[in-house]
Amino acid sequence: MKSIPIQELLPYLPHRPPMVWVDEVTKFSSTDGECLVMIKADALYMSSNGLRASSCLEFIAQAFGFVWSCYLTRTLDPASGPMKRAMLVSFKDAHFARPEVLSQVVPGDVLRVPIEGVRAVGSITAFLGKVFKGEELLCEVQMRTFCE
Amino acid sequence: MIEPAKVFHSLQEAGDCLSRDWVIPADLPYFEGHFPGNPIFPAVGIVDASICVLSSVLSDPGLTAPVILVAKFTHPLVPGDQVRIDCKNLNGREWSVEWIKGSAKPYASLRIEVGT
Repeated sequence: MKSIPIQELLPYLPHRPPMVWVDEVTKFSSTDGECLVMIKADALYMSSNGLRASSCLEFIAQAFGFVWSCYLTRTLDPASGPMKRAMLVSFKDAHFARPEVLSQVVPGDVLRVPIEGVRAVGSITAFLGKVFKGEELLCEVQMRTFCE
Repeated sequence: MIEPAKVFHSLQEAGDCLSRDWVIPADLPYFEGHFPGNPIFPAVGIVDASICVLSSVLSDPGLTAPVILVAKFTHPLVPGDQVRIDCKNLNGREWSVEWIKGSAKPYASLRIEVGT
């Protein structure tokens, strides 16, 4: 699948720069998907010590939002409008790489953010999200979001 | 780029030993894009601020949070909201952090396993 630049998907989510942290959608389906983050020095997800652990949570939440938007608009219903509301309801079992690993994330790195096991009940959607640099796992978390 | 210790410097000031009162500043860097015309304090900011408060409470500037066991975000928090952030030790390295606004139930609650 040809990757989809996030600029094409901005109309479907309320996030705007500098809070758009994901760059491309590379896969999407009703249950799985994947996004890429191209690390930039001045982005809000960075600190002087490299990548903040918490930023991985936002990568995953946004990756889900953009993957889901792709599925809705490019598979399910091309006439789907933008999400009126999209928010993180909860997460659990968030595990992060050690600070010395996160500090080695530098501008120019590409992070892979796979989303797995998407299951929706009404307006609540649950899924597993991960963040990888190469083969190294930086974060793993179970999330629930509200979208309508 | 966000340096939590600078962005949330006002949370480092000592209050009651296990809580902080805070008015969410309107100039936090998140609000420009989250969301234009409808600013909402994002979960990532709540997580960073919670870790800053624990760092202050425990007098450990190098504190980290390698595991967040649970986090719930019940109601949106917006610029100008006056909140009380309550910390409670649950068991060894496990802490509860609750964001209270008025007398309502927590707007956000987290169970964080701290490291150094």
